[in-house]
Amino acid sequence: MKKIIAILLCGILFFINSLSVSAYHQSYTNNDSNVFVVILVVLIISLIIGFVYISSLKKQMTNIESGKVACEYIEQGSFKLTRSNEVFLYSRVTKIPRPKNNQGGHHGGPRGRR
Amino acid sequence: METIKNNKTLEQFKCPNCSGDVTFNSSMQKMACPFCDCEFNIGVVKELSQIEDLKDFEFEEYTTSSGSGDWKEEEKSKIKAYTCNSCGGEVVTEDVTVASKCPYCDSPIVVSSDLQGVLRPDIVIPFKLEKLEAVERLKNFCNGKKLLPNFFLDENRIEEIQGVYVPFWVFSLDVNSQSTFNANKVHTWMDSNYTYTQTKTYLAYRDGTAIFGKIPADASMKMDDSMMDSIEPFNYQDAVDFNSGYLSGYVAQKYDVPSKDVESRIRHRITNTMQNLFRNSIHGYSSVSNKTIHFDASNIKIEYALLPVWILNTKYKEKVYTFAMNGQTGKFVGKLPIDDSKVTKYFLVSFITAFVFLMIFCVIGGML
Repeated sequence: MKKIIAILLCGILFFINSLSVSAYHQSYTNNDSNVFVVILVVLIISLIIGFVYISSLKKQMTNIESGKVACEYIEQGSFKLTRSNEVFLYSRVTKIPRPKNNQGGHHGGPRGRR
Repeated sequence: METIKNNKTLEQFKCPNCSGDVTFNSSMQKMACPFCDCEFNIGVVKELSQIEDLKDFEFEEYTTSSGSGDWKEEEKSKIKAYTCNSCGGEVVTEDVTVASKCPYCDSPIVVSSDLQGVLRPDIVIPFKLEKLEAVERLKNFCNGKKLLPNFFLDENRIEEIQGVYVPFWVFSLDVNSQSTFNANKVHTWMDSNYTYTQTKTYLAYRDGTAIFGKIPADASMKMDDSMMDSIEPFNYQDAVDFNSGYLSGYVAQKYDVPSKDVESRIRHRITNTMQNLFRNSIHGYSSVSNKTIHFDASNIKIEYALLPVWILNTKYKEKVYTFAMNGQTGKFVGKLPIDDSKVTKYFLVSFITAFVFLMIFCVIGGML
């Protein structure tokens, strides 16, 4: 449950972060909103760093893990592949239209405020 | 691929891609699926139907006749069984050992009973490491744990350690396994208008054998299964036939999980192991995914074993925390309590540090 909440939280933070970055790119000519958006982005990144750090510390508190495999109990040299076969089943082709570049060139990304 | 045999004359095959019923297309001389338009050679379809026909086996139940038999008269006079009044846990020990604390809940044990219903173990791995080693390992385990409560390593609590022989079912068997995988080869190309992706799907089939020796599964309901899995492996070269003398100074838990009830855990581990081994033999594909696996077993041997574990129970905020150390190898496992105030402290420290660092970076970079 805790893992699901953490994943959801990270997802929401990532989404907000993406929106903030997008807002920054759109408003980099407006000084006030630029400052606000930068602080918001920094705040969100700092929160994520905090959560990740705490998660890593919590992981160190336990080393209990259920046994999933039994590799160490196979007698040495006893594994033998007696049959190996690969048969072709079917083939699928998908096609995605390529984006058309009508603007005739790249104009560069956003620049920093001076 | 699933085969349904309604009678001896009618065979109906299912599509390996969508599980729809496939029919024979006489013009193509192939089996065709009307639902997903896949086509297959008849030979492939028949081969796949044989793969699915393998049925999984059943384990036998362990009984006294399967193992070392019933207790000897001299053992009965030397060994006592105790029941905990608090949690109902049962332990067995030599009469010279004073079993004062329940290894499950740390409560005093006061009631004694006879050996009725207690199976005689087949093998035992004697303790190799002493209590002091367990104390040392716990300290090492706690080292560097930033979220650990300050008073947790109080000396009085650390000494609550008990040497316990934990009951295990130990399975040895020869495995014959068959497994199928979906394997894809992806090829991408483009022209002026489109990007094309061709995915060729193959069915990889593997058949193999392996001998598994002494896979353990704890037979105690009160012991955490994951914890007992985590202290593996045990070195069975040190295992000896059971002798009540090994219980002197220690207690042995009484099994309360029948061998039948741990089968699913053993089956799960063998299945995963065989699947991993087969998967590692498939090369040259962009992606491989598990489809089916079956295994049959022969020469199945189930043994009732007592394996050495140092158990530590300690309390933090009225909750019991249990730690375990492999009494043979010294592997130490457990889950430490977390101090919530330290979580807040380290979160704030990391958050503020990151915030200040990033703000400085933004100012230097000209974003502010």
